[in-house]
Amino acid sequence: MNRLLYFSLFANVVLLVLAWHLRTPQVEMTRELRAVASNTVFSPTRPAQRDDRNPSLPEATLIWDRIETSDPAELIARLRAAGCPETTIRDIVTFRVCREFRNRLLSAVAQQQWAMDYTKRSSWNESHKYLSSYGQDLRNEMIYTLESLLGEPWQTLSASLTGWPGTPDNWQATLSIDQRRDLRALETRYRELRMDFQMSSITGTLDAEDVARLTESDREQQARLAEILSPQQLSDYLYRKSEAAEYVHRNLPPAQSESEFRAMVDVALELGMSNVRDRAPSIGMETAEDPEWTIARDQRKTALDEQLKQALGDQRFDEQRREQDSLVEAETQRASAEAEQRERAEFIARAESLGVSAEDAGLFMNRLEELQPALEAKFTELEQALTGTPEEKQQMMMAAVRAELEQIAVETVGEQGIELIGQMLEQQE
Amino acid sequence: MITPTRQATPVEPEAPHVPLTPDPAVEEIPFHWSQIESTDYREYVANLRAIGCPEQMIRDIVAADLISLYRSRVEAIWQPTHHAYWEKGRQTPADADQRQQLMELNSEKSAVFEQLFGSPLNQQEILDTVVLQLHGSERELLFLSPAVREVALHALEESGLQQQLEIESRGGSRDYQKPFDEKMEILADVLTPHELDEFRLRYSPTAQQLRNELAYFDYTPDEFRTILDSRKENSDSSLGNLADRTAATEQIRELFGDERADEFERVTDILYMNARQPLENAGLPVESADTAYQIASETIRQAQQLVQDASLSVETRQYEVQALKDRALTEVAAIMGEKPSKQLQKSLRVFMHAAESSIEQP
Repeated sequence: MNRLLYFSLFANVVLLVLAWHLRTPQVEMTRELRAVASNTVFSPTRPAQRDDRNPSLPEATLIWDRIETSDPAELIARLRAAGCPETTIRDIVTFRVCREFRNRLLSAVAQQQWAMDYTKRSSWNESHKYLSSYGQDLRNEMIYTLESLLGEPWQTLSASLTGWPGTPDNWQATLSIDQRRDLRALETRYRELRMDFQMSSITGTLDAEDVARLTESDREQQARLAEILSPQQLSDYLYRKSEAAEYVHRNLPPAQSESEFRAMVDVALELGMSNVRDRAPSIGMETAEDPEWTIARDQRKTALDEQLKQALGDQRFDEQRREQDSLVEAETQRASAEAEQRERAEFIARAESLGVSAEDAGLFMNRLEELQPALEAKFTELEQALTGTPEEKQQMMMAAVRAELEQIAVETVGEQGIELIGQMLEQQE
Repeated sequence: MITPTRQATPVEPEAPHVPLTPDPAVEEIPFHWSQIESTDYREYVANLRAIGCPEQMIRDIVAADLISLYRSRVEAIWQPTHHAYWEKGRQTPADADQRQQLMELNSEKSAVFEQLFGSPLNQQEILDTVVLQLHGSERELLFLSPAVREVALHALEESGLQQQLEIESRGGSRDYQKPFDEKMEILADVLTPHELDEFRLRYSPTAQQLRNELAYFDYTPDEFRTILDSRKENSDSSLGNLADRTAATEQIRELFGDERADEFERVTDILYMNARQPLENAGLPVESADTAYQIASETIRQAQQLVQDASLSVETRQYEVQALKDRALTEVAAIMGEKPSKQLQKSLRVFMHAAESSIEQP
């Protein structure tokens, strides 16, 4: 039984408490906008009224009827003829088209929901698959419609309405609208094909037949890409979005330059490396993996390292490994320091809510840290001495940990320490 | 007091009124957009209404306008770190202070919208619309008629439960029952008993778990409801344990008798499910799933007996367990086929590894 489990148990309890505590953040508006151009004082309780309108506007309320049309292209033309700014036209049309497609999605999914036998898992699986597939097709159609109507890439159109800060990566801006459409359809199709393999990869049940199918699928995809994209565009795509590029980002040390990165991706492409094919099984699934498959994966990794050495040179290869180790070490330390600070803050907040001062709560945490080596040794000894079923042993260990924590808590914070420990352990349960 | 202003969007200089299209049926539009534009949101909204612009479109125009107006202020507080495609950069999330400032800005923006239209700006709704996604309560309530669905969604939104659930799910909360119970309480005020019951049968955590369990059990919708109601009344958490079907089988025995209970015990065992599912997925006959399941479960039973046999040395027990495992893996592969048997082999390895690990060292 893992002794560290009991210490992390304490931290996890505190984290749960914090998650509960921060469930409903309170926000206050404290700033005012710039002064209005008009001298009229705006009353927050009065909505916009007809009298607020520009008096030069004609009285007739059917003006919009002369603009309104179900054809978005015609709507754009009429708005332009009326002098509507391009950005406003973009917003109006994007919203309208998105809402229309959304209604189609809602209608289709609702139909399916009404018709399904919801007591059967198979019906749910079919429904989920349908929603995923149909939704993606509809999304692709919507994007193509908007890009065709407005002449701007989807990343720009969507960012203007979602308000996501920063400039979206628009490498696809050099592609034509039809190229972008075909690329989206292709990516959707092969992403769906790859999903079946991803689950096998996670659970360690990917086998040679799967790998062969995956390799063939990748080859097909690349051939189709070459039909859609020019050689330069294909090159840009592979270095940005291929399975090999994603593998390099996720598994290899960071490149110092663009040319170095491209050299690494070239090697990964040559060997057909991918996160689906080459990932280690999830923790706990190692024993489920086919031993032969483990060997094959390790051999591929060895081949990758050898070819990277050739591409980058031994010196640079070793440098990269050292840089990676330093980064991992720095990241681990940073994460650990952050976690420790967070745990401390959470514990102090919890303690204060029970009337324990922040100072005393800090003393308790410090004392726990000081005693950790001794407590670990004590619990190790205890664990080895315990007898009974695994459940009985666990209960006895929990009781022992609780008793120790309560004793330390009482010594440092007083009698409220017992309640503090009790509440946190109850919360954990 | 909020005093909203907007940046009037540059318009084309006022042009003489000309027909829009060559279509002689289309009359010239008797206004120019410059007459609508205003730095005062109240006036802008009133002008749009005055020309008969649909209310939803006005809300969309103003929402987009506000998002654009506030964007530079958002970016001044925080924006994602830009990395070139070849760089392996770490995205630095907003710190606590920045998050606070962003939330305040968001509230300010929403307050402007609320003062104009009587309800706050729903950014989630905009996001769902733009990226064409369905999730959460909106998806769950799709089985209702549109009118009832709208009332139900409104009730959930008014209660604040939606936002609370989203914050909890972003925080990685795994408690599914409590939020579901809270949702049921709110919906009880707006749905009929039949509608509420259907919501429960579709979306309660117990119902979702039960559907997975019963994947290969032959049952009617009424029987499903009976089992679900029985689970609801019984707080025994081991009912859902796929590795130990004792409690769940007894429940079925009480409800439907011995024959159904025996069938239930067999087809809801994780080993059976792992044998059957790959055969179905591959379009192969499922009869061999039974035989493979028998081999796997008997192997595990024998292994569990072996590891407790103190009359045997540790080495002997380890050797025998390994031999049992190897024999079983070979047999299930032969019966089901190598590939379809992978999932069952995986489960078998996990169970046998657990058995081996429990052999106590002297």
